[in-house]
Amino acid sequence: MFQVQHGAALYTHLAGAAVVSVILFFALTLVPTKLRRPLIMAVTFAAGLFYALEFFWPVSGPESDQKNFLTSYIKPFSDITTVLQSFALGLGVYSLVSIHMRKVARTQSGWAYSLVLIVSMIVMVIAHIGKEYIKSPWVHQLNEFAYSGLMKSLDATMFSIIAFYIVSAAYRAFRIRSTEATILLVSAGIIMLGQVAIGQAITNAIPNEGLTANLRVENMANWILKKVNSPAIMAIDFGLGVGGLATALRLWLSLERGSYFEEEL
Amino acid sequence: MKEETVKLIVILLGVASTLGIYSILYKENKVFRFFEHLYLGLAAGYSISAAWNDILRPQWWTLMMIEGRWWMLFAIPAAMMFYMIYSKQNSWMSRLIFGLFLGATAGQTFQAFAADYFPKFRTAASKAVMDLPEVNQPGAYGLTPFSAALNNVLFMVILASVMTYFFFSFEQKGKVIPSVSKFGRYTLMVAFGALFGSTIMARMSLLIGRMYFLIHDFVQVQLLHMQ
Repeated sequence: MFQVQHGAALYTHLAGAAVVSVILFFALTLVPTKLRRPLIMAVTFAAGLFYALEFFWPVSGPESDQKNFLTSYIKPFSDITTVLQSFALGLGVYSLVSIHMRKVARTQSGWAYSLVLIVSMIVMVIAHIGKEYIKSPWVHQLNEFAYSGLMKSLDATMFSIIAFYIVSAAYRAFRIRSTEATILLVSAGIIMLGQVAIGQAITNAIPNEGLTANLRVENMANWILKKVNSPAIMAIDFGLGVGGLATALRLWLSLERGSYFEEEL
Repeated sequence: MKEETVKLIVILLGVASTLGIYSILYKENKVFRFFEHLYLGLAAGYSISAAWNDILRPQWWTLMMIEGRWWMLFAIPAAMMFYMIYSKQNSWMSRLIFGLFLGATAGQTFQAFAADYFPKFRTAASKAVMDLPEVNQPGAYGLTPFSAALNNVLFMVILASVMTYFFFSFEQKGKVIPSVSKFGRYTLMVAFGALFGSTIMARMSLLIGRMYFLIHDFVQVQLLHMQ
C-alpha cells in the first residue's frame, strides 16, 4: 500500500491522501466529548510505549548491531516528529506577528518598533529561503546584508553584552561575605586566570614537570574542572534525570494534574 | 552591485548594529530599541527559513514530491491539529498532537535515563577503584598511582556528597549526613565558580570579537586602509 510513486501516479496518490486526510480530520471533529480525553490518553500512552517497548524487547543480530523489530522505526518516527515540530513553529510565529500587527494597526505606543520587527522578519525569510531557489544576485546580496551584516553582528553583540552584566552580578554575589561566596570567588578566579596568558604568566616560574607543576594556575584550573566540577555536575544531572523520569512517567500515564491537564474538553 | 560595495555595506551594517546594541550600556534609548526589534525580527525570520531549508524541505517536501513518498502528506493534517488550538469548538484536537509529543518525549527520557545515566555512573564508580589510566597520560604532572587513585576516590566522594545535599526525602539530622551535605554544598560552590568563570570567559571572548571587528575590520581596514 505504501509504495513509492512517480509522475501522474504520485499526484493521484497525493490527491487520494488529501481526501483521506480531510475525511479523518472531519471524523475527529465528530468524536463525542466523553471520548476525547481517553483518546488523548491512548495516543500519549502509545507514543511512550513505542520507546519503552523498543528498549525492553529482546534484541538479536551481531553484537555491534543488535536490534529488535522496533529499532528500525526509531529514526523514521524521530524524523516525522522533527517535521511536525517544524510545522509547530508557525504557532509561535503567528503569536508574535499577531501581537505586533495589532500594535501597528492600532498605532499603539512603540508601533514603529513592531513594524521594524515584522518587516525584518519578512526580509530575512525572503532572503534566506530565496537564496536557495533564486539565482539572481540581489537575493544573495540581500541575504548577505540581512544575515552576515545584521543578524551575525546583532547575535554576537547581544550575547557579549552579558559580559558587562555578569561583572555587576559577580560584584553583588561576592559582597556576601560567606564561606560559600569565597569558595565561589576563588574557584572562578582560578578558572579565569587559567584560561588567559596573563594568568598563566603568574605561575610561569614553577617548572612544568614534577609534583610542583600541579601548583601552576592552568593545572589547578584543569584539576577543578575535571575532578570537582565534573562529579558535582554529574550529581546535579542525576537529580535532573530522576526528576525528568518521574515527570515523564506522570505524563506518559496521563497522571499529571494542573490547569492544562484538567481543563474541560 | 560590486563585491567590494557589498562587503563595505556588510561591515557598515555590522558596525551600526554593534554600536546600536552597546548604546544600552549608557541608558535605555530609541536606537537600542530599534536594533533590539530588528534582531528579534531577523531571528524569527531565520528560524522560519532554517525550519524550511534544513528540516521541512529535505525531510518532508523532497521525500514527498521528489522521491514519491506520497504518504508524507499525512503530516499536514497532523500539523494542522496544532493550529486547532485557536478553534473554540475543536481545541481538544491540539491536545491530541501535543499528547503524542508528550508521550514520545516521556519515552525518550526513559530511554536516555536507562541507557545513558546508569552506564555513566557505573563507569564513574568502577573508575574510582579499578582504573588508573591517568598516570602515564600527558599532563599528569608527578601523578603517582596513589594520587591518581586519590583523585578518583575524591571524584566519587564529591559525587556522593552533592547527591546527599540534594536528598530531601528525609530530614538531614545527626552528625554525619549534615557534614557530608555541607561538604557537598562547598564542592557545589567550587563547581558553580568554575561554571561562572567559564561563562565570563566565553562572554569576554565574544566582547573581544566585537571590539576586534570595530577596531580592525572597520577602523583599521576600512577607514585607515591598514592591513
